[in-house]
Amino acid sequence: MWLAYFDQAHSKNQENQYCDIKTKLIKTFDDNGKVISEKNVEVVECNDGLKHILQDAGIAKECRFYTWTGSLGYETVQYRTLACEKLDGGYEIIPNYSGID
Amino acid sequence: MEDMKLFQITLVLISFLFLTNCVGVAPQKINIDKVKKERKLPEPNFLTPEAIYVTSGNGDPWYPRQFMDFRFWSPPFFNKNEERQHKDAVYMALENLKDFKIVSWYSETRDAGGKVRPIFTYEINSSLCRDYQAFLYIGKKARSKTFTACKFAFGNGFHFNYWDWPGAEKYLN
Repeated sequence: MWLAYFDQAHSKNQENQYCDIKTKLIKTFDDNGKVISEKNVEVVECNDGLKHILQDAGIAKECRFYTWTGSLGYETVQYRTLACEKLDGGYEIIPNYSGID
Repeated sequence: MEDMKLFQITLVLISFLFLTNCVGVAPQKINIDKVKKERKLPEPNFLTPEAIYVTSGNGDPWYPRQFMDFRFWSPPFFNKNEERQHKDAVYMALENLKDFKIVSWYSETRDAGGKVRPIFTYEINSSLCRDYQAFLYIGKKARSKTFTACKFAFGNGFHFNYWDWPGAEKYLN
């Protein structure tokens, strides 16, 4: 008899995910502007590994996938391309992240 | 005899019209050192008198002419990864960027890259058209050219309209 045990759950959708825990301070005020309550809430934000080195280094404002329509043979296909918006207002294509959406 | 002369004149005029309409925008010779030093794209050449765009039907899908003769028969030329990056940059810019915003790409393996800048957006019939400037370089060789791309509201992405005129290669450095 075989027994198998895994301590990790695998899902294809979870590959390459980048997760970050952010703390938000929520303050509630009454009509007079007096603070009624104050609490910290932790929010887990995950994305598909979009945190690129340009963003980490503070060179880019935001990195995200941009979609565009093209053709593959006679078929119309949605492609996606990873690009970062840099601080100077320009954009930069990040190689090896593009593909069919 | 009169008819023959008239025919010849008509033929010449038609040829002249055809040739003038075939005139596209020749690639510009670009000084790459100046571009790198000033960190600024050269002026697009769409304001010159020869900037006449001609549509060829609904336009062509992605076409090797986008690489401005950086092709294997006239080295230096881009490898597959670089070609892919330039294609990504062109489509990304056309579908996502406002006029005059610039998207750049850089080769991972050598001093080569490109920039794409949409410069004018307009509607013709039911198509959305964009003129854009493409700038490409490999080492010291750099070229810039203005292209046009259009897409139908119900269509399948951007198609490209441009004709080069015979002899444009001599303007390449």
